Amino acid sequence: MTDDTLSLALLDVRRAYRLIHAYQRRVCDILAALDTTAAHNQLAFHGWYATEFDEPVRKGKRFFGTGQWTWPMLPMYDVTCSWRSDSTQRKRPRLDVRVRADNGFATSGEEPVPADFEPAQACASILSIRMMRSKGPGVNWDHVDSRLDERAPDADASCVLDIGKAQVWATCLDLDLAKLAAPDALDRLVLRPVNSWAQNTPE
Amino acid sequence: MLKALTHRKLGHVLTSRHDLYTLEDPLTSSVFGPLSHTPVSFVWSLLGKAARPFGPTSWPQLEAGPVEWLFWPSWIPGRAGYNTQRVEPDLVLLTPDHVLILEMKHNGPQLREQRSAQVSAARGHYPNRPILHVAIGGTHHGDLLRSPPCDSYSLPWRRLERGLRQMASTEPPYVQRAAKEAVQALHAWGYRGRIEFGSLVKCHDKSWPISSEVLAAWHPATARSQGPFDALLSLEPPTAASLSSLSLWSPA
Repeated sequence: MTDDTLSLALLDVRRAYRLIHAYQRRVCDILAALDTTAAHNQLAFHGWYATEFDEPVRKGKRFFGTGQWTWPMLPMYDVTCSWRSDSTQRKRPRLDVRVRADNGFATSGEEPVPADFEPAQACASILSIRMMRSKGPGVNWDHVDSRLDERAPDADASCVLDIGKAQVWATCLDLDLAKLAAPDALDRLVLRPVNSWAQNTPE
Repeated sequence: MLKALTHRKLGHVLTSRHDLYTLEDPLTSSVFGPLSHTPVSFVWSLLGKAARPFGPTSWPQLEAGPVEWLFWPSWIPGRAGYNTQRVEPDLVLLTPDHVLILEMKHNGPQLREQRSAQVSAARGHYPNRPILHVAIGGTHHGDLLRSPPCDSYSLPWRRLERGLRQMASTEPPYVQRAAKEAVQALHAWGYRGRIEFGSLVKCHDKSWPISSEVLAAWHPATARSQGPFDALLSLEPPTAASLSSLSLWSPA
């Protein structure tokens, strides 16, 4: 390897970070629009987490320490946000939104290395929205996630799950981010379905 | 102050720089402070175009004459006051013909009772002037639809931001600068237009060669030149035999 070759690679790194900033700026805008829609429907933001790995290392800790993965410092590679309601209605609503920049991420115990992932061309960037209502005590939401993850790709968008003594009504919307090219696409394909679900108050 | 604020230079005196952006009074000051230095005709026209009336009313003309800007005036409550001590609208513009009350919210709800109290107090202070009320930002604007006590308007912050950007472009440079500062403040508080996701294509250089394989072969930490201490650490540990012979060695 020569210095020139490395210099070209680092040029790509600079371009990559600039492109990632542009991507994350737009993903933040999508989430902000969903936050507004949720707030109009009495759903409050509950929190976020990096879906596949830990959140960024805190300020006073070594993010570069032995055994630390690099992934936690890239949290928006795959991020999930959740909105919940304090509603006392019988079917309590909950909205989970996951934005995956790359669905090729695969873990094998060691720190995942992108060179081992499926080729990027064979993967997609996915917005997954889960609109749920629950009735009954102590819903194990990790269990709900697992059950919904296991659904066949061609399964109905809506389903009812029995989770312990509770029931969960879920509607899933998985959308390739590439479908959001048109200026009205976010409203049409994302915000309106979420708003309709939220306003369709069950008995 | 505003420049330091919008350029995030106050982090060291604040527990969290994000805390500041949860407050509505600095937002009011940072947006309408710069605008108070522009001609009042610009602000009047901006509000008239951006605000939406509750009910069948239209934004009045601004008559010529002096205009007074009152930030957080402390008024004695009128009869409709639900505040017992004082009424403090965020901003009032006193024109020769109107009392314009601007009530700003950031995350909280706009309150019908608060509007009634402000209008009632304004009537006590300026009995002969028609009153206008504009609810800027916040939530629950729908609650203000019912029985407005005066000509009443709704204005989300994002619509104000859009109006500022559109209208300032044709104004003299000093107005543009003030409008830009107000827009920067709105952005700092999170009120900016949404960037369409599809515009990401403009950020992507299609001729860009992907060089990740070069970086994959680059291991600067393991390839670095070893100093004496690193070399010592990398030595094989001594064997038991060599340690025992060393312990028998007594050169003195």
